Amino acid sequence: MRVTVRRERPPEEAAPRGDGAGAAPAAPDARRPVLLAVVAAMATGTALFWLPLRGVDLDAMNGYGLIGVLPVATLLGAAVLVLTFMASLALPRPHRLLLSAQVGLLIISLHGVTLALEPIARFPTVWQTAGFIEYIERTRTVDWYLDARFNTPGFFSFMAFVLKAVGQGNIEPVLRWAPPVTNLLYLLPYILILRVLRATWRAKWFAAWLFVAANWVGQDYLSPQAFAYLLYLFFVAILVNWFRHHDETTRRAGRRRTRETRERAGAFWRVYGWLFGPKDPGELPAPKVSVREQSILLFLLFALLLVGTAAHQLTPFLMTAACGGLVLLRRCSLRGMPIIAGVVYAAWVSFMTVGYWASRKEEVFGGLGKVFSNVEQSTGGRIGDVDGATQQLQYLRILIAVTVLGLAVAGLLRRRARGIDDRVALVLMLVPFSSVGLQNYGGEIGLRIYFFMLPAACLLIAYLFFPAPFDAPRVRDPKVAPRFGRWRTGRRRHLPAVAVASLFALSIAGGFLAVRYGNEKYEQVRPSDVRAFDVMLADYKQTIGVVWLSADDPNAVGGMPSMPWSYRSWERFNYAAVVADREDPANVSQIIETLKQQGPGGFFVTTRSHEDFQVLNSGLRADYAARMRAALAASPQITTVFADRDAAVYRLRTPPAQPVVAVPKPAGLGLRSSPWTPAGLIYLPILLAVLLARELRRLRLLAPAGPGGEPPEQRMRRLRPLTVLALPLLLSVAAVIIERFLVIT
Amino acid sequence: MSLLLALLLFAVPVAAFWSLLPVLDPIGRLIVAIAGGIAAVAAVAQVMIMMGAWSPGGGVAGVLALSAAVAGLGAAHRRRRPAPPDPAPPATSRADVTRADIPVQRLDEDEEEWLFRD
Repeated sequence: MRVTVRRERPPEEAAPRGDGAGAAPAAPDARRPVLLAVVAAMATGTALFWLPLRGVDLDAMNGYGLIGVLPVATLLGAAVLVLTFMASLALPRPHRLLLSAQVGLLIISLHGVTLALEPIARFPTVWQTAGFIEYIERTRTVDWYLDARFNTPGFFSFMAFVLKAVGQGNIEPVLRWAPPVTNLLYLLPYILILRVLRATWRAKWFAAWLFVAANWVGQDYLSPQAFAYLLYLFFVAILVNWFRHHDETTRRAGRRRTRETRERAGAFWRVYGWLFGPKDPGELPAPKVSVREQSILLFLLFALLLVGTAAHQLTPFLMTAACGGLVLLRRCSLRGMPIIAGVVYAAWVSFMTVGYWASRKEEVFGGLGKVFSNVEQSTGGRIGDVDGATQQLQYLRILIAVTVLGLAVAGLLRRRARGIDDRVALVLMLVPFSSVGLQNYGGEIGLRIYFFMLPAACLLIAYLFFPAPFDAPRVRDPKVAPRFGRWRTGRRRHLPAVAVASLFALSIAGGFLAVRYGNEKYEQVRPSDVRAFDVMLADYKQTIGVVWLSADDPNAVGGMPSMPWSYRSWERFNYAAVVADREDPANVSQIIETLKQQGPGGFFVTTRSHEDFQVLNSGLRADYAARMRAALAASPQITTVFADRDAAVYRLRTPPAQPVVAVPKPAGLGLRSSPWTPAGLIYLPILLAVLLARELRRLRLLAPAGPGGEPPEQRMRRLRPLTVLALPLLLSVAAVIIERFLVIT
Repeated sequence: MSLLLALLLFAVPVAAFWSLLPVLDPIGRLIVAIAGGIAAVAAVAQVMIMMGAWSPGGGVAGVLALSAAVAGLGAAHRRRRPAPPDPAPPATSRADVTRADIPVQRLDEDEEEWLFRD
């Protein structure tokens, strides 16, 4: 039998430090040399990761992207960083400062590696965000007609306001630093979610680490999605922290084993008991707060909902679904919140985005219910006529997503086998799948599902390795010597789990570096790409018709050029694609013809990133662009406006005088009315006020009454007047929304 | 410089929400206050764009006014109830609480204690 002798510790180290930190009163402290070794390894790993990046030659990249050109030392450094984090998990007690520093280093290393490699912000799409923000800064309004994304302008307005208010004229540093900063911000609400769970500190810290390392989908650039995701996490965190059912209700007497249930035997009852039998909740008892705090938090939830709805079109649906799922599985006491969220979402779509849906009802609602085609489009459908390396990366992405999902399910089952019912995690993992049928979303919904599934999936994967509900040595019979006892008892008992988790952590970090920057060959933006658009804006002062080369029919693939297009002066650009003549790169007649159609403002633009995109994704020949550029430069009808190795702009030597397209004036939000709309605008605020008042009243009635109070069933009857008031209002608002949809075309 | 100003812009509503929620635990209070601060700044900007009155100066005024209103609510609450209720005693029903952590009631005035008195 082992006897653990507690060493004397200084009091500030021995003191428990809040949620789960001081969970193991008997845990001996790590020896100081071990700690110092971990810190030294961390420093070595950081140096190994960052120092060799200076010599990286980005031009040597092929279809595998950044991982192909990263020095071996950098990859080694990443591995050292992963392993030192896992070594900190193997220590007897959590060293919070060390663990936080390691998670921070992971964020800056994984999500910020291109900061050291590329001169300006990567990813062309982020430059369109810059374009929207610049438009609002300049015109102080929006134009629904220019782009569908102006229908949910909340985020652009927010960023434009912040940048203008602090006097930041150049948006490029913001674009560059957005991914690490947003990932850091995501951890704040994630801490709140993690701390309510019945799990060991190892599981929680590993989940937080995974949440950073498994987030390879690249939706964290400066965009409405990234912002709305942060709001979603805050929303869920507040719900699970302060609006949870009290746990007494989940372990009612009827759920306990009675004589009747004990006599049930056989396979059926075993499965039944495993599914629905008495379980411990996977969450700690909810902290008790007063009605006042709950009311303030309710208003905050409502504000988060409104801000999220105005900022992004998909996220409020997931907020609604998450709240509804928590209510259905009895983990949320705000039963009216899903209805409020649904009303806000439906009203926003109906009243504010009318410019978008009025002209394309078929397209928007066509995606509804076409679940199978959506699934196909967002997984296999994304892999078409593409380069072998790019295709392998695409399969690797699917493999990682499937692995994460599979391990999460395994973790859920492992916890369930221990009699723990992780309902919050289950709801948060299943909710994103409800958006499959919602809309097509440009064939990207698979990525979004993974993204929204991630908080719960990381947690469940951490449970797979560290399933214990709390940190305590298992009680064993000292007379029985267990097999491999050295590794299952005593101080070493965590090592096997940490070792297996390290393998997974290494592979997910490696997978991250491979797939996150797998398209770096065409997702990087070079300074010349931006200058190409500056040159056009300086060269012609009216609406510019940008002609670009596409290997496939752009209408079929739904594409725009892989460039920082419209990164400013959004309203002055029109785009026309030319389908490449695959047989003869020197045949520029089609380009000249399209330039003539653009009138005096016609420019042909090509950039190296865009050319690489066509080569890797559409199977254009590798030397196509060079031969086309040579033919354009040699053509007597064409003059070169700007050309260097990375980008080139051409225009006609003698452009036609017609047609001159006027620069559109800002058209605002494009609100439109119908006969019933004014009534709807009156009913809607009243309905929301009544629903909120009803929730506030419910909170007050749910609060424990003093002795002699009515039983809760009777108190809940006092909600009825507000319910009766809300129902006709709800029906009226629904009727107005339907009427608007039918009348406005 | 811009970074400092941006931090200041968010710090004002965050501080207001911080003062509004004195009962929550520190970590929860801070994170909720950050959520409130971000939501406040974003909401002001969104209301401005929807009203067709987007302007940086007006936005700063709006954020300040909103923060003042929130902080005023907190101050009014404190004045109405001068001594904030004691923070809840540490929850004893937590999973990681062992028998050693629960204070044992001492039997000071036992029925037979007189036997041992001098």
